[in-house]
Amino acid sequence: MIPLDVATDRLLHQPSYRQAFLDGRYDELDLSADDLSALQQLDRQQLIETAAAVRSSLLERKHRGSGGIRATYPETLAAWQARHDDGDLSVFLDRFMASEAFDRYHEVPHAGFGYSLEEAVYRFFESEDIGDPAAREREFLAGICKALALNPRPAFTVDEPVRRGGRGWFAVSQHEPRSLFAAVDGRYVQGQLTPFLVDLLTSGDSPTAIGSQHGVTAEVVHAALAKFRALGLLAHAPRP
Amino acid sequence: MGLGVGLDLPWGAPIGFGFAQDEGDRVTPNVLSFLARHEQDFNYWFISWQPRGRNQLDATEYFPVYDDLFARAPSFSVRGLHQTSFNLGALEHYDRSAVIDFTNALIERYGFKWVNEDLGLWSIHGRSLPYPLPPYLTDAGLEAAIRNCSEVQEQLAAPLLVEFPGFSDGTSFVIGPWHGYDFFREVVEQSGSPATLDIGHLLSYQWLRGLRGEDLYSELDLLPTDSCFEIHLSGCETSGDRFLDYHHGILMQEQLVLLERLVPLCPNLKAITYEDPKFDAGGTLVPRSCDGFQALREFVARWEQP
Repeated sequence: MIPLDVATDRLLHQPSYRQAFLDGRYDELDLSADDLSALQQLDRQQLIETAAAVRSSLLERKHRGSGGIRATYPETLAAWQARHDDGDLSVFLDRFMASEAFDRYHEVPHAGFGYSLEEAVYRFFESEDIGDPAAREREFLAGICKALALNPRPAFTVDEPVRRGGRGWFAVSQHEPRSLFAAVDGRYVQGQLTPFLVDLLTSGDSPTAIGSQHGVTAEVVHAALAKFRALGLLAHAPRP
Repeated sequence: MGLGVGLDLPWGAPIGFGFAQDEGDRVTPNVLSFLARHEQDFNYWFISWQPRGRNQLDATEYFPVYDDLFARAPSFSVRGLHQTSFNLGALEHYDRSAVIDFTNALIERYGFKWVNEDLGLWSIHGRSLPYPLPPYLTDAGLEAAIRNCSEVQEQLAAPLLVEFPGFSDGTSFVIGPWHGYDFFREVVEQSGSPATLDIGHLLSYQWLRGLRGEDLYSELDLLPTDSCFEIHLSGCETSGDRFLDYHHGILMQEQLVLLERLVPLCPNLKAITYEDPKFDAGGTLVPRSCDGFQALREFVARWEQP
């Protein structure tokens, strides 16, 4: 049995659960007799309209930083629309809101920290293998770093590949062209990286060893580290 | 206190806080113009808190903007705060400690005399809703709402005014057999809370129950009128058979009728709030709201407070 708050959450967010309720397939709702009785008095038209308002808000609402789903994922959403013949993105909303990624999305942290909307959508697209993986990753890293530029102490989880930097957050794309995405000092930063710079930001090896691996002189290693520190990507070196 | 004004101040809106590259976030000139123009009309005001972004709650993040707001707004003698994140109707686990600490920091700095929140679901399982849902009108929902209100009441540095929630068409639905007025009275009485009665919310509930005409004003004896400290009037309208809690500043005649009937039933009423007026850049009320506001002003002027 699920409690009434879980059922209400599903009625609002899960089309299949809502449809089971609207169709009167009550044995599929996993509710106690009392809770089922409370729900049966619900105005079905009001439920349908409220759920539509929730869906519209999820898709259209602008978020400070990334701007919302449409602004964050233009290429991947276009790929979804092409694959699913889903011009109004209603199938996308159905599937996304029924996904595990959406379940882990928490905009309000007081019920527990969860994914940002940017990450939840990305994880969903990953699980569905939508669009070009490089574009998908680029859109995600840009979106999450723009969000972090304005929300450096986020009320949502931030996981790999996004890392804490000296004065903010950064990530390096796995796909070519290898690129830096960062949120430092309230600014969003993006730029391509050479293999040496990728390793300098992400490898566990010492800078000296990374320089040797890439045939880079100690002076260049030192200059690159200084630049990353100045940008706020790396913490300043401890004083001798 | 008589007549006051309540302002929702979202971020990035003409009536709210605007952003400029050189100044950061600051209250818009529209708001300051409106308050200056109506300084003599209002004896108090409240602002509705809206999250500035998606950072973890930290009151100091809001201090520069609110310091500037209160420095440049008229110095009404009493200030209140409208919260939206206590989520007083929630059944699920909901950790309010950060919200309470945050709110107490604002109370301490700005001297808010009360904090108000609609008794409802502003989010569910961490996902916000476009319009708050009413609480679960069940026995378990009642227990949870009483517990939630009592917990906040205990820990808050100013009284929590519990507000009767809205039931706007198309964005809310009712779960459970309790009558909304009975449920609200039980919560207010058992949590020992002062109450806010929003006239539009009361009408929206009766409208959603199918009542029309004179019946919209019925059953007032079920409300916790003895505990009513504040009444809200925000703009509502009907469209076809729908009642819409728009908060657009344009008062319906029915709101003024219900106000006249409700006020004599509330012996401890202190404040009548014109909530969420809409105005232009010069602070002039939108024309369609002027008659209703004038009628409200005249009513409050005639009101003899106990």
